Amino acid sequence: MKKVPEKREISDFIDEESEWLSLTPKERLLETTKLWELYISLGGILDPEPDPDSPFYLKPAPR
Amino acid sequence: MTRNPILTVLSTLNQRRVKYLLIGGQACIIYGAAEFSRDSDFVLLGNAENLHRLEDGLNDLEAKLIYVPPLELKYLKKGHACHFRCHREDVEGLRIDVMSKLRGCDTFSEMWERRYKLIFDERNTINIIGLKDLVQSKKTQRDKDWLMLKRLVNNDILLRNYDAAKEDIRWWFQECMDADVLIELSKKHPDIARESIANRPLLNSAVRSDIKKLHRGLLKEEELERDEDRKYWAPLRKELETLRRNL
Repeated sequence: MKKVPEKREISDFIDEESEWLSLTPKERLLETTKLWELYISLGGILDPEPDPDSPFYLKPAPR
Repeated sequence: MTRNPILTVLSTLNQRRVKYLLIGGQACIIYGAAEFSRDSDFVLLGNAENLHRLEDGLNDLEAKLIYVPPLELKYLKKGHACHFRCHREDVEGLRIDVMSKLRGCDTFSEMWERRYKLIFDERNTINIIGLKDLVQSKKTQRDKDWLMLKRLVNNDILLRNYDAAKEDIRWWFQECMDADVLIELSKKHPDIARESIANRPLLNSAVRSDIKKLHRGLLKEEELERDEDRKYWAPLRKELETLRRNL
């Protein structure tokens, strides 16, 4: 089993970004599908959190 | 069956022949600026026939309106977004937001001409907003949109190794929000950099490699756009408040 490094270096993230960028748009779509599968298998919900930064966001009406 | 609910929604819209462009977080994934997003945002051709097709698609997904305004052309044409939540088992909880107008962007028909068509499989071609229009649509009041905008432009520059057709290099000079990249770009294309100063005076600092002044200029530019977006939304938010009170 591959050992998980204790601390991640900045270059690790840059490499990941380069790897993602090197994919074609269709490959990115397929990769994000794998992320969806993982997310759903871990019990993730599809509904995003409210975004108070959004211009559509209105504070909940007082009761 | 795919477990990507976004693809399920896209496939439904395609089956119903909705004229749409994928925008927001999902478009950012396609262009490499993000890896995952639960946003499902679309800009639509704002006419009655297309709206009818959308309603059919939303019915297929068992999507219900969750907010104001109602799905009506008059609201979409003003710039409002309509918000839905899907209830069909395979897409339960997924939000779908639709608009027909984006602040600062061209009309849907013009954006449609510039769209990126991603052929996913024999039955599905996904219509994605063009990169330049996506960047324009990200000039909002939200921090996360500016982060995406910076990545979208930087990625385009990096992927093409700072070299492209003159028209695209001009666009980089116009839209890049990264001081280091702008200085590097100015060194590689000094003539286009100088030409571009007339449209974007802060490029003078890039040509002179004055990074502090360039940073200040970029922040000011961003703040002006954020203010414009707040002004644009102020009457729309007021209308939303009124609609909510009248529910």
